[in-house]
This record gives sequence, C-alpha cells and structure tokens, in this order.
Amino acid sequence: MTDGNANGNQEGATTPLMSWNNNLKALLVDPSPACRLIGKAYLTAYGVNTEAVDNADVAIILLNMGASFNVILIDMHMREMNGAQFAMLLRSSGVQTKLLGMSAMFREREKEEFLEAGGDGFIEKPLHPSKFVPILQELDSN
Amino acid sequence: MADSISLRNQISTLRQSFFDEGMLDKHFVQLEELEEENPHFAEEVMTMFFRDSTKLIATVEHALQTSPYDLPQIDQYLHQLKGSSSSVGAAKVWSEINKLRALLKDGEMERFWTQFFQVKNEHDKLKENLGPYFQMLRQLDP
Repeated sequence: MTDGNANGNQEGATTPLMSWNNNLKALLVDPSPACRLIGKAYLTAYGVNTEAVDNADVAIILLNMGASFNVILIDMHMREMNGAQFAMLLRSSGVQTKLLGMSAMFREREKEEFLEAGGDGFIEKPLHPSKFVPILQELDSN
Repeated sequence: MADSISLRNQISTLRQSFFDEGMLDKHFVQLEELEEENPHFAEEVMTMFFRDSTKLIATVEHALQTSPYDLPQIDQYLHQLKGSSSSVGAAKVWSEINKLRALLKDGEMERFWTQFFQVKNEHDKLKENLGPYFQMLRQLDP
C-alpha cells in the first residue's frame, strides 16, 4: 500500500492524496449538510468513493437496493435513531459492511451499546484525514 | 498589482482576527486545507452551514414559543447545531450552544432565553463577518 503525494493538478482532475489496494467505497450518513460536505470532500480527496445521505432510512433503502460499500460511517445521534439502533437494523438485514459510529464526543455506555449491536468502531467528528486514514488503512489491508 | 497586495493584506488581517477573537478555530483551517482540490470550499461549506443553522435556530426559537416545551426535541436540535458548528470551526457559536444545552439539562429555563439570544447573536455575527471576507477572497480569485 502506497501513500500518495499531494498532487493536485490545475485542470480539474485531481490525483487523490492517497492510493489504496482496493477500490474503497464509503457511505456517510449525517443529518448535517456541512458535515456531509466536509466528510465527502475529505474522503474523496483521499481516494475514497463516497456517497453521503442525510438519514438512516435513505441509507437502508440504498443498501436494500443493492448498493455496496466497504465502510459505512454513521452519526451516533440522529433524529430517527441512534447509532446502536442503526447497527441492529443493519445487521438484522444481513449487511456485513464495516460500520463506524461518528460523534464529536463518545460516552462509554453508548460505545458499548453500539459494539454490542454490531458496530465495528468509532471515528471522532469532525472528520479529518488524521482520524480516518489509519482506520481505512486497516480496512484496506484485509 | 498594488491593489492585489493590499487586498491580500486586508484578507489576511481579517482572517487572523477571526481566530484571535475566537470566532473560528482549527477546524476552519482544515476546511481551507481542502481548497487545493476544491477552490472556495470553505465558502461553500460555510454557506451550507449557515443555511442549515439559520433554519435550526429559527426552529428552536419557534419551539420555545410552544408550550409545553418539548425538551428532548429542543436538545436534539441543539445537538445538531453543536455538531455542525464544531465541524466548520465556528468556535464561539459552539461554545455558546454548549452553555445553552447545559442550562437545558439543568432545567434553568429563565436563563435559557438570554443564552439562546447569545447563541443567535454569535451566529449572526459570524455570518455577517464571513460574508465580506469571502467576497474579498472572490475578488482575488474568482
């Protein structure tokens, strides 16, 4: 696995800041438009094909339609459901995709509930390469 | 040429003042980092942020005029505001929202209104300050 250099070229098509063994695809689920924009921009800049949706229901619909991802990033505190509830829903529909909970601050209990419900790990918000790159590297090495 | 230099200086001074006054923090700098791939990305994100946050603040204000208060719902809105303001680096707004949420948790509804207006003021102040800043940036680089 190689780390790319920052090579933007002026003409529009930019070389990702990082290259991966696999063609990584991420689904970002966050009710905040700013967070979706930031998360998607960062992930895309780092070579991860990213789909961003604003709620859990849309995410489930996408997944039921057969969309597949290497990783799903979910805001832990959405209006309709929390991270653990989403994890339960996901796993009970047979989706095995790696699931990471996003929050600015995690409480121990909610982390435990999330993991017990089938979640795999956590990423601190706001999304930044320093946080997601190590996790994606681990994912990419499998 | 001289105009461009003086404009650059103005922009730089204004930008620095945002950090010095604590209106913006390092998360905003992270947005600027993405401008190599996406020119005007910070402006794009802030525009999205303000569109959403203005609506959320109005929603909270409306909810506070409905009796009895739906406290969990109000807290949910504030939580979302907190998350997005943190993500875009709106530090002062974030800090005032935290104070507001603490008052809500403690049931201190008398001070709540005053603090709510603090949040609204800081939010509007940031919006009013960033407008001219981004305008100047566009003059430099349309």
